[in-house]
Amino acid sequence: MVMTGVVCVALSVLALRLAQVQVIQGGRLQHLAQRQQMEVIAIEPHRGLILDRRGRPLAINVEATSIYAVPSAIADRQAFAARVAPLLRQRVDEVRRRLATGRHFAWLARKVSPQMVARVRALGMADQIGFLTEDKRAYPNGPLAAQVIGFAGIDNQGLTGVELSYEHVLHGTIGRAIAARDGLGRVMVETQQVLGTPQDGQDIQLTIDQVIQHIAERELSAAVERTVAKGGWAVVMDPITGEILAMATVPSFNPNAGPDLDARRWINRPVAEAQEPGSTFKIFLMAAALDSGVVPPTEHFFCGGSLPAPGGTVLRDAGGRRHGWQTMGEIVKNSCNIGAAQVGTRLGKAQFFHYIRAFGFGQPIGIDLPGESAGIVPPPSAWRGPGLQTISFGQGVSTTAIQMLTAATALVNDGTMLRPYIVRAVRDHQGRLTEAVGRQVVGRVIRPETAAAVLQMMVGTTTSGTGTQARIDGYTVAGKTATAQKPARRGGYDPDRYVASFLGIVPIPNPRLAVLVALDEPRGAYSGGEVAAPVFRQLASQVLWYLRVPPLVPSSTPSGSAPRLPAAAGTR
Amino acid sequence: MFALAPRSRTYPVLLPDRPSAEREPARRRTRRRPLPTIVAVAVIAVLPAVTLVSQRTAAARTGYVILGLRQQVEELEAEHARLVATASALRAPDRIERIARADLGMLTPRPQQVAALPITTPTRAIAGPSPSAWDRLAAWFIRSEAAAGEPSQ
Repeated sequence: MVMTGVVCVALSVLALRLAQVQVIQGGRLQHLAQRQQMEVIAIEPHRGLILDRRGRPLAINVEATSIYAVPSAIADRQAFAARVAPLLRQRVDEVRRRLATGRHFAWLARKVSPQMVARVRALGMADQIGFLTEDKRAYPNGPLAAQVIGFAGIDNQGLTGVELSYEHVLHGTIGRAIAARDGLGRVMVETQQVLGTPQDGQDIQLTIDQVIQHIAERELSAAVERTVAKGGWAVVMDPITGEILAMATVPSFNPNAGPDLDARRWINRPVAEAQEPGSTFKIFLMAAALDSGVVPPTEHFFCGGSLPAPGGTVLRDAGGRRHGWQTMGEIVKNSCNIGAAQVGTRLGKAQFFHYIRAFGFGQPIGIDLPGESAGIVPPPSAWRGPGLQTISFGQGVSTTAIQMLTAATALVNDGTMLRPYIVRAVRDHQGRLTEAVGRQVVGRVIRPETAAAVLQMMVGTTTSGTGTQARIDGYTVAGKTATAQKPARRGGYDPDRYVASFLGIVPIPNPRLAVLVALDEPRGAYSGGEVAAPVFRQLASQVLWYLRVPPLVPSSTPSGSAPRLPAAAGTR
Repeated sequence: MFALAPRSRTYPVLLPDRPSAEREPARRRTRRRPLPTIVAVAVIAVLPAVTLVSQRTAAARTGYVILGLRQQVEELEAEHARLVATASALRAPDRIERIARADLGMLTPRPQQVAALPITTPTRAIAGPSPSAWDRLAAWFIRSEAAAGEPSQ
């Protein structure tokens, strides 16, 4: 009887203790046990890919191995560093500095070559050195469109270009799980609890065409080499949609080589660098003059080679040329500064400034690329002396190449300006479309008749003006040359440094391409018509063939038998 | 006087059988077999534990299989990525042009060497009938998807 009582009491005590441990303190103890046995595992998402407009990969992920050390397991750090540093191609003190960054974990080298991994593995220091596999960004086309695509850093974070501006789309969401590890350090899957599911980054389809980009870079590089220029840039745009088909900057860089390069080469100059536009600005002057009705299209202006301007200065045409009486079309065709200055004077500061702003100059146009420059357009109150006259031929304001092309879309689309864009679509990991970007209308800047008239003036430039070297057999080209002096470091302009450029639209009618080519400080021949227009011709003719745009006018074939075809509506 | 002595008579009575309580201990003694009882108790107590352990073991084994498969998936994905990178590098326009020019002796055609030919009537016929109103309606619904998904040039 007594024994039974003792057993019952003992069992009751045990039951109470069990209830205390399991029920009352259960949550806290479970948490404690999890902390001791379970490990939080970060599940890294895969970064989204960057593809060209036809789905060809421009930026992808490959696997790379990183090497880490376990400092707590290293008895003699100096000896360890001395042994490991040569294999990692690091200095001994650099390895020692890395060892000091953590107690149980310190990176030695990230995303290294398989050869380096093999050499370090051969040391047989498994308790002191570990290896982790990570995603590494790779650019299979090397320097192709490097400034546009940009590159990602060591932690797969975008640092420049589309990699930076679409970081939120490409990066994805990191996932977390807790799981126990067995004696060999393997994750015990049956114990794994996913706290947050990782979301891979989304793929981005650019408007860039890999082939057009290659053509642009090849022709630009050849021109830079030929003219011994400091560099150059070219942008090819579909003026009907605003899609950027190619955007090239020379010199370029190979993003696979890592960021230890000349950082100046990372700059996407057509977007991030503003230059004085020079004579291409005259087309917007003419558009403003015609659209405002201040200057009738039949008006003539006399060019005697020089023009007294406010402030006591005398404006002179390049080379002291005298063009005589000219219409507005002839001013554009001959790129006459004196004529343009007179048109600007008639237009007036307020009207001209209004149109300059309406065309989008002096403000970012909102292209989806980082580092966009607004350019510089001073307010009319700051146009002192001959300011109005010099701005009329593109001196005294700064614009980017992308601003010039954006403004030119108004000439093609009946006066309606389009916003340029570089990303065409966003797709999730399964390839489902999550976002599609299309034509983005900024607004109407000029009347359709004005746009058509200015475009016709530009055709005159390539048929018998300064841009004849931009002519393409079989196609009518509208264009404008520019030879802009670069500002001197001590004020004024440098007589020996120019930016030669050409802005062209082809074919007319039914334009398919708007192209801007610029060469920075070419040697020898330096005018836009001589050095930039031929680049446009080479570039545009190949792109037209590639896009299967049939010629609209008979080309100068030996047989003269090229067929005349209807407008390219079927190939758009 | 004679005292009347109590008389006793024995009457035959039919008595019931002995009460069962008296016979039970003996029966118990004869029926008790401890070993099966112990085995039964042990089975009842241990079986869930054995089942639990075997399930845990099976789960761990399956976990390692899953882990192996995951590693296989990762390896195959990595291999795929490497192949994509290689294929892309091989398809790079710069490389193709270099081979075309240097190894195959190809040249960029001059404008005079490129001709656009008008589409002949039989070629047009092959192109198929024009879309019906139903096709156009269906196309209208999927236009946004198609616009972004298909190359325009």
